[in-house]
Amino acid sequence: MTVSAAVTQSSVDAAAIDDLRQTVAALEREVGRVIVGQQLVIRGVTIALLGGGHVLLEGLPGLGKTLLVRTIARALQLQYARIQFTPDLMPADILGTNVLLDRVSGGDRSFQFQQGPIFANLILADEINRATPRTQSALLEAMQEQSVTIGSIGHLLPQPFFVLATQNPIELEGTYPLPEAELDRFFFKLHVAFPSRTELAAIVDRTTGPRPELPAAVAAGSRILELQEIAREIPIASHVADYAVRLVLATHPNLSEAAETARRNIRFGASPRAAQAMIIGSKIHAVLAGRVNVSFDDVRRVALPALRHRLILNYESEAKGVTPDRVVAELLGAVAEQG
Amino acid sequence: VQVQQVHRLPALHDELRQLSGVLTRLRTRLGLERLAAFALRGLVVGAAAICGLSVAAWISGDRTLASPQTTLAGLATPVLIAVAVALGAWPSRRQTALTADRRLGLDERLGTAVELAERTHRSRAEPRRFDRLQILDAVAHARAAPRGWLALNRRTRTEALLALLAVVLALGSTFLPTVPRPSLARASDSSAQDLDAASAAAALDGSAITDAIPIEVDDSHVSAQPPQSADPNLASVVQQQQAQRSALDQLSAALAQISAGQPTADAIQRGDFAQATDQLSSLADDADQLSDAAKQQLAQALQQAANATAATDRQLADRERAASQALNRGTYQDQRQSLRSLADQIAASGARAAPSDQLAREVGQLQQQGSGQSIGQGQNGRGQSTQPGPGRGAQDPGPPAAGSQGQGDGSGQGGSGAGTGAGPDPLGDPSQRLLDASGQNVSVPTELGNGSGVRPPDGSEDQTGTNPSAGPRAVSEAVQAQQTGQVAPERNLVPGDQRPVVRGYFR
Repeated sequence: MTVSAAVTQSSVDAAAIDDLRQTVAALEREVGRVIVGQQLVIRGVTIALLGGGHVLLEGLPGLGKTLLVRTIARALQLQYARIQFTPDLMPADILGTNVLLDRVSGGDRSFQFQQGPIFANLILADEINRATPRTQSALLEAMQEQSVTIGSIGHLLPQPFFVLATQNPIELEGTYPLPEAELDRFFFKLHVAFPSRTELAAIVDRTTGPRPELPAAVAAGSRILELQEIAREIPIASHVADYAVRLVLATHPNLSEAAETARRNIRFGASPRAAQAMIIGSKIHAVLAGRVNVSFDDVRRVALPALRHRLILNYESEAKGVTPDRVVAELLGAVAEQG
Repeated sequence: VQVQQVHRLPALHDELRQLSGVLTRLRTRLGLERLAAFALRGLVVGAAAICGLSVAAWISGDRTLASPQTTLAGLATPVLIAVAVALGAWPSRRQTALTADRRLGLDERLGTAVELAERTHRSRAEPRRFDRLQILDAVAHARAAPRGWLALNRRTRTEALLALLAVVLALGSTFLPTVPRPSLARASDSSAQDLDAASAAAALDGSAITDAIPIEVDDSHVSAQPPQSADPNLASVVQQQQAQRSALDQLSAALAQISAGQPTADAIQRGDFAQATDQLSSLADDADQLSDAAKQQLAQALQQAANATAATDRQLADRERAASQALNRGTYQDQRQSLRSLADQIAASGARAAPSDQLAREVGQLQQQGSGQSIGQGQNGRGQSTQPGPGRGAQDPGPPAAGSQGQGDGSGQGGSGAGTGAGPDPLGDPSQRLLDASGQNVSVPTELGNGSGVRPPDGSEDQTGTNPSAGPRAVSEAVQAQQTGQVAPERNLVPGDQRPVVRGYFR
């Protein structure tokens, strides 16, 4: 009984892993039918979705950020809401507000909570850095606690809940840089690169001809939650997890574990959320790579999107044009795998 | 919620067994590779130790330091220690898993599997959802991994090459003790002896050196006469003493081949033959304490010394040969007897050999005799040039006669020599430049007189003049004069029959 049961259990587990891989493959395939190129961005968004995290997409206008989010929402059959962040956007415009309702039958009037657009599975916070910090901070609780509090009443957000925010890196006038606390809530920060010549030609060809078919649904929202649980159960060895921890510690210039590049370039290092993001992301990356365990390579692959927006560079480095990506690359070279 | 059936997840027995099998195989491989790596390092250390011992044996002359037993022990001990360390540090399961992950490219599968297995085993907890799957995945990939060496990397190959080179170097160094040691003292002694011998030979045969070293003297004014005629007995004695001394030096060099014979060799070098006899007698009594290698080396060296000295000191050569044979094949009594006999012969031969300083003085004396004779002959010839006489030297104006005040046999003002006028130019004899009166290795200007500086009564002081062709040598002579306190005479290059004319002109 024991052996047969073990074999059965292993088969079930293997089937769950395979199901996760197939779901992701189908999602990426459907997104790929709409979005040309940007495989790394799509993979990053997928990992963040399976990890239950939010993504900050940074790129020039017209690169398909909004289309990517909308396509994912359609493929996953998620409730999708788009919030265009502007300087006059108020928190209530996002979260919702209590409105005074008159009963038709007459008599009593009562307040009723009108949900804002944040009550959706997939939120596209477009040009998030154009809203004031007050409005940006309205997302803090929603992103971390998956709930909003209006007055004294808390309201749970629908599950799964994802925020995919975009920001333009060049139009800085009239923008409000995201505060560090807000940035830290994002699981990954992904750079949407300009397409290559071949990709651009494909984009032109695809968007100027007959309208393409809409992406097919590959999974439901509930299935995403199951896949999230599967991904979290992927085992990780202690020495691999320690590598992620040491990477985060190495970003803090005042710690003894700090790397030389951190002492030179960083004013504030990454938070513990960075380590969490790296480990969860590396687990999903490992599964998608065909393994049931996390390797050092998985950690390295997810280190850049998990760390780049959590490093606060000092003035000298910013003046010299040092980028967080470069610092992360130097960190990866400085921190040994075997501690 | 209605629970229909509860299944307890089975333990990881089968997966753990498979994992243990894989890990055991990998541990053995890794352990043996580490063993080999440590042994290589031990081999390098051992080879270095052998090199050190060989150099020490070569320097000290103690062949026992480089004996086969010592060599084997020096090589084996570090290797054994390294092997013991490697066995003591046999890789654990976790180390094996981490190394296999790194070397075989398993992407931390084995390390994770080992950790999951240990956690399950340690906490007695039920395995988590994917533990079993992960362990099976790790086992499958470990079995499918290439069966290469886990630790055979570039560093290991470099160490292997280094070990090979070290062993070759060590084996080569074992021959170092057979190479004769350079010794400054002995080298200087032998140089001095060579100089002495050269001086004596030059005294005996000055013509060869005259031909070898050109001089700025008009040879037509120098009478050629072999210096052997100066004092044949003294030359013979000097030559014999030099040969005797050379024979003893050969024996000294042979005894210096082993450390136990070094005191005897030193005593011979010092000329303390009584001490040398005592030392060699003591060595004879302790002959049984010498190693076989030392005996063989000493026997070989004595045989060579016997061959070299057979022509000069036959008795000493015979004793050396007998001692060599006894050391090769004889019993302790034979060895003791032969070495004692050789010690006695050292005393006898040493009594015939003059000390170095005495020998040098005799050589110097021999040279000065030859020089004085030549000088006297030249002076005599010049004196007879104004008062014609029967000597052949009348035909020789004899510029070398300017050294008429030279030391010698008292013939400064014209000796009583035969005056053949054919004697070699003293300046052309390099031995006179190499040896002083005490036989030391310095130059002696034989043109320089060290007498009282009395003017010749015939007014020949006017005959002195400067020889333009002798400019460079005049400078050296002046320097030598400053060093020796002697005054360099001047030479008159005006022909004798023209000198009255010149003298009258200046008057």
